[in-house]
Amino acid sequence: MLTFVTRRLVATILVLLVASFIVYILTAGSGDPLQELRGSRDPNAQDKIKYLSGVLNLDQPPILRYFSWLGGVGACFIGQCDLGISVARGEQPVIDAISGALGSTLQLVLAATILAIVIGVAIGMTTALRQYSGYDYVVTFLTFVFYSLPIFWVAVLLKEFGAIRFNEFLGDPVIPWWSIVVIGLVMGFIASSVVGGELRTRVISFVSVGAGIGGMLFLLDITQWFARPSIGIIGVALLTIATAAIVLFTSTGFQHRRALIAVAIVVAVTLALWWPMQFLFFYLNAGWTVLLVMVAMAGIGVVVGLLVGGDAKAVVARTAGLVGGLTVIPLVLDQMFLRWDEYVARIPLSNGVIATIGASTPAIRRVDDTWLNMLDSMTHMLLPTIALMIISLAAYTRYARASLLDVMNQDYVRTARAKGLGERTVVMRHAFRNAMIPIATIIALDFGAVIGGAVITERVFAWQAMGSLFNEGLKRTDVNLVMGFFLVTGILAVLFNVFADLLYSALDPRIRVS
Amino acid sequence: MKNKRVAAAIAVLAAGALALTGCTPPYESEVIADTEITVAWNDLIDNFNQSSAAGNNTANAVVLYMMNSSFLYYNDKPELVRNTDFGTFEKTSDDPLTVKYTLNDNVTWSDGTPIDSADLLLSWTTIFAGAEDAEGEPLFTHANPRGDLSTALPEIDDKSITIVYDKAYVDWEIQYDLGVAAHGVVGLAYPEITDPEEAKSMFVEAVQNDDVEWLTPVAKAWNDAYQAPSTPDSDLVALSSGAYVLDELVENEYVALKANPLYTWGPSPKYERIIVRQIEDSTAQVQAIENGDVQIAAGQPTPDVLELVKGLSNADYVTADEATYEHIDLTFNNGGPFDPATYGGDEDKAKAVRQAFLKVVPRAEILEKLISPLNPNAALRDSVLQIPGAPGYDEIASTNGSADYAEVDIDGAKKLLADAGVSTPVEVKFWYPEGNVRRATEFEFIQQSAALAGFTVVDDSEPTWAFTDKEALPINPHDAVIFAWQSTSLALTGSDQYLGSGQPSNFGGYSNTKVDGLLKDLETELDPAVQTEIQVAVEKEVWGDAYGVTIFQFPGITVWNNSVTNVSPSPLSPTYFWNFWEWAPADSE
Amino acid sequence: MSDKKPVADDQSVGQELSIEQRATVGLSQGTIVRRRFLQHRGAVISMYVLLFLILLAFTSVGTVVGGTGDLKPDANSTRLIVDGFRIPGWWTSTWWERYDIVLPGGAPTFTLWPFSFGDHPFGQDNTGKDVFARVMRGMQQSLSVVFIVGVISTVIGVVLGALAGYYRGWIDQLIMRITDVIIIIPLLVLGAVLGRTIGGDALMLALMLGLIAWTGMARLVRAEFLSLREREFVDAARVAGASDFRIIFRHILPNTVGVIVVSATLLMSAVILLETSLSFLGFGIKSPDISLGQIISEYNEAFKTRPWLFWWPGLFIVVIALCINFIGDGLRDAFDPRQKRVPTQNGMGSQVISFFKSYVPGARPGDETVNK
Repeated sequence: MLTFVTRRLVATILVLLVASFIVYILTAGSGDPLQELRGSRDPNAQDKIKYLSGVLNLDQPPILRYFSWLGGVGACFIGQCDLGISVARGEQPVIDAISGALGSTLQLVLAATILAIVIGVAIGMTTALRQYSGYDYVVTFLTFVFYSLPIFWVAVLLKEFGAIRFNEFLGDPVIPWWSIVVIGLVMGFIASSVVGGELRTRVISFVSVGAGIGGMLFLLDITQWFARPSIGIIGVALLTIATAAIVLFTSTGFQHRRALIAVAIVVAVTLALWWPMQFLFFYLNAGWTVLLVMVAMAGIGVVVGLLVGGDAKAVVARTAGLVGGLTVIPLVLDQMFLRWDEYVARIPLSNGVIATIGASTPAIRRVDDTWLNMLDSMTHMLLPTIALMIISLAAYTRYARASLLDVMNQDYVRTARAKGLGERTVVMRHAFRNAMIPIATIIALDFGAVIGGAVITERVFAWQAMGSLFNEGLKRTDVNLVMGFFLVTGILAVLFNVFADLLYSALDPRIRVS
Repeated sequence: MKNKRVAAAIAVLAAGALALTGCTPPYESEVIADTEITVAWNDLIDNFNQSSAAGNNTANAVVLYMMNSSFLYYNDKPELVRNTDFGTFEKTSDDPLTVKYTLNDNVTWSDGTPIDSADLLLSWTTIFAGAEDAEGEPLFTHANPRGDLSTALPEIDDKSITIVYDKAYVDWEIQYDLGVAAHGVVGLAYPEITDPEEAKSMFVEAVQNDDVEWLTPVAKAWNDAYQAPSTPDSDLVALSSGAYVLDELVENEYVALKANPLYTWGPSPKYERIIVRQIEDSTAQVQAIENGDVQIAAGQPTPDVLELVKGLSNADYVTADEATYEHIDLTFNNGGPFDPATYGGDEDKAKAVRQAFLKVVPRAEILEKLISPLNPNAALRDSVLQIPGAPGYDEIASTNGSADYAEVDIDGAKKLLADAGVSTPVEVKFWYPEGNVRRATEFEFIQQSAALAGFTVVDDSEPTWAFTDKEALPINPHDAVIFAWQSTSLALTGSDQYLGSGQPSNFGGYSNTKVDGLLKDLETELDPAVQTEIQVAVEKEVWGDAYGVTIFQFPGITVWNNSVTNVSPSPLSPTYFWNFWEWAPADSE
Repeated sequence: MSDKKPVADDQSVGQELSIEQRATVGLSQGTIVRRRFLQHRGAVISMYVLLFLILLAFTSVGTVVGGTGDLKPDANSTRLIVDGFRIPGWWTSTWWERYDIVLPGGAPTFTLWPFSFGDHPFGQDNTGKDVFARVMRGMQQSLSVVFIVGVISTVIGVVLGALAGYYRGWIDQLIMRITDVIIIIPLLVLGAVLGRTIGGDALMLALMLGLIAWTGMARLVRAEFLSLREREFVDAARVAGASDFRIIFRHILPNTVGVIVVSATLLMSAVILLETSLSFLGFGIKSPDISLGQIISEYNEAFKTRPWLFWWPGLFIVVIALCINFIGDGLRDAFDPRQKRVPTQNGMGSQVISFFKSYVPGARPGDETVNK
């Protein structure tokens, strides 16, 4: 295993080296880095041109310059990185520019990728299970449409409708009755299609989900929840139970008594801990608290699972542990929304909270409150993440659907059905894992597209991150800056590849890498 | 927060009432606690020394304007305003030209060190190249060093400096102002000197004794140490002499300023914090205004941006001229249709062709179709030297001969060509920056109009501005070019850069000894009436030679949210920031 | 994966014919494919829509062949003409001339009731140019880019993939390493760098993109060749004395046509979006050249104020990409020999996946076949 990974890593790094050479030479040949100075009326321009030509070794051919750049990169191994200086950014060292930009891009790309995988796989698999249903056709058509949308188009529209119009709505949050009805109908339709089965079941799921969602919206509307959203103990309870139900449904099913009990205990523990947690979150006001709580809750889940699990210890412990780990999400969301009023008072927006520019609000960054800053990050990241996600989402939906369809048609699935296993067990235990194998490879593929998408999304939302390094660098023929961008994305691509490989071999028992 | 605002508003009203009753307190800060304004700019400060070559750009200037006090500033007319709350200056003699600058007593840097003559001397040293290395190069790389203007070491006393010019100089008023702090730059160069007074006296001594060895690290610090894309490590870098001090600078995102507690001179600002956010894209700026992310934004509008702004219910806007103007220059020396050499050295023939070409440039159409929709008050610019509205503009524009080119004159152009005996069609290689939509449209207008008179205007557009690089291309290969010059001040000097024979920004090979001489005279002329006379004479020559045509001032737009009042755009840097102390929250009034 | 069969070989699978196979006994491959394709309603509709769009784009405003494409004044009138051989179209306006603005702001003259196109159905820009004509010209250019890139990268990808898969050994190693290198650079990044280098010309941009977009195709074709070259009919051809060239292009290649056609269509739908993105970033086609992406990025500010400048070109981009995607979907179904209504192991699932996998750095479809 180790030798396999090492070999792949070495090969990829060699590939990366050659690719970096190509990018360097092409970028260097695409223009003149001193263009702007040459047209300047500044009497000092000539001196500056001479100075920069010296610093950037412009008198040497690009091939030689590449190797001196490579030398600087090589020095990273002895802790003395030198990626050169950036002409486009006032001679700032590229390494500083990268360290400032990497965080935002990584956040954006990871969040978009993870959401796209989770949602895309869920939608794709449900459409595969309900193949040729109305739901399947609608979703398939929509994925084709999403697949055909230029990303900046999506981003510009999102900014208009997702931010400005939505903020106007938040300024006066009244949901018209007809949209409550429409949303209820749509959700009911989706639910009945996904659940499927007899007409009676479908009608029941249609009515219950449709009415449930519609009623919920109505309740939120009349209580003016959108004006002052909060979660509180009730919200935490609802969200935790919903999470637990989904996990339970996909892992063991509700029929599994022991799992049901274990999960119920975890939910109860979470709610019991809600009040003490308030103090914990208040005093440990830092990012790592999230991790701490997550690990602790997962641990509690595992312990409960082991205690209650009986014969199926491993499965129950896994399920309960997952539920425990996930309960951190409603808890943290609750903390964030607790600070809603303070947040609204501090930000400059006159209406609503969704920002159209940048990655954070200056006024919030001054405040030493992790949860408030998280809320701020969320309002800034929401739209760019959605824009980036929509495109990948279409792809993942298609892969997941196709992949599950393939698997469901295999002989071993037929065998599993023949021996009388329930549909849920067949799908979740036998088919799902195998269907995920191709998806693992797609993750690495999608990375290039996501980086390309990030370059555009960052521009639309005025984010100053890796994408803007590339844009700016290429516009000014700032080779060092472009190479800084390429180096980082290249390394990320390599990491994604290795990750995909590991996932691949973990999922597919046939592949024993050697 | 609301309550605090109200309380603060009452405080302001009370202060106002006091002022009305004639019982003026010495200085009352009008800063309203917990108020904050966010404004948009397309670039962010990255250097705290705007006088140095590296730091000399608008993005730095607008932020430093709020962090610095100066003897002079431009208002929205534009005209120069003397800031007597900070200091005064007067011309004490015409020959030799002598100017005495005096600081007011109470002015200090934001670390509490008084601003005094050491700081004034530092400015003198940098602007007039008062310290030079062994090769005679200035130690301090000032953006526009004038080693030729004042070589005599100025006299200083505690709060004043007396500068003696070597020759009369027309722009003496705007030539000199306060720069960065002397004790700051010394502290950056010699960290072991921690006492500001000691630093100042050592600096003064070094300048007076021309101690180049001691000054070299200081100059290096002055040149380089102020470069700071994010909050600088040393407090000395961002010392403020003005209404605001630096709070936080986040690279490429925003700079946050907060009210300077020590500031007791000049008009008091109202906002406790000002945040300048970097937003490059103009649509994004408008959307940010609409969404409330920022309260003020400015830029060059497109028809759509203007339309968007008009549709905003929560914002006001003003369109006005900017200080940048579009113009067409012809090339005199490239063997093209406008070069006498093409016609065997026949100057008149070449001039006739130039005049004929300029006569068919549809200036009015360009203005009407492309600019007027963006700025209803836009007018043709009829002067090469002066910006419309500036002193002397009307006189110059009405007498300089620009009227010949006010309207398209196809028949006149045809006649000129026929009389000169030039065979048509005449091919004109016309350059505009590729990808610039507005200029591409202007090119089309010109092409179509010129065709009627027998000119074949060829699209010579390139994405690069190669012709401006005189080392690579000593002679401009294009016959005509269209681009814009930006005026950054009301200075009368500087026109020789593009009109003078062989000057660095003279890309068309224009050469007229009479113009060269007149511009030289203008530089040393102190009498405003004579200045205008000389300008008229220069322009008559230039327009008579059919050097080129000026077309329009770039339209600018300033948009602000209703929650802020007293925003007013200004054509010259620092543009709408010029009266930042008057900006006030709408609900405080 | 290893039991993948060439399409023409259907009957040799065994005596036991499935229902689907019986339905196609005795028909030529072309007929089978055509029939299956025609069964895919979405694909057929898309094909007609795409054909209609192509016809519309080229016949409406006509086109220009050869020449520099620069504008120049006409000697006999005041109008501008384009350099090159001009084929006129039935639409009266051209994409480069300015017209008097009919409605305030250049709003579209198109009305549904009473139905009328008017002079400028899609409106005019601020100088009076006809947006319909510009969109049509932009569509010509965008479609040309798409097809040029499609053809170039298919040819390169097929040839390299065939060579690598057929000869294996060091040729395979070399070609696949080159592919790895190109794949690791995000296509948008490489395209932007090249786009800036060549600066704004549609034809040049298409050539450049064609030179970098072939990698996925090469991997797929290689994988097919790796498995097909071991088959009996190849041995038979070799014994009969056929040259390598003949075996590659006459015997094996026809069996890979399904994979090639499908991935070529998917590639083309990606190209039109790539062109748009490059234009938006300012590294793609630039004025005075027109493409749908160029129009939309030039007027991306206008989407609220003059929506016709933003929505029309965008609509055509989406429709074209959608059509190509649906056609690709239909072709995939049609070329799959066992495909009936129910997808199978070799069904559309694997084909989509293997297409996308072919763009994954480091993972090559052929390798799995070997691994098992």
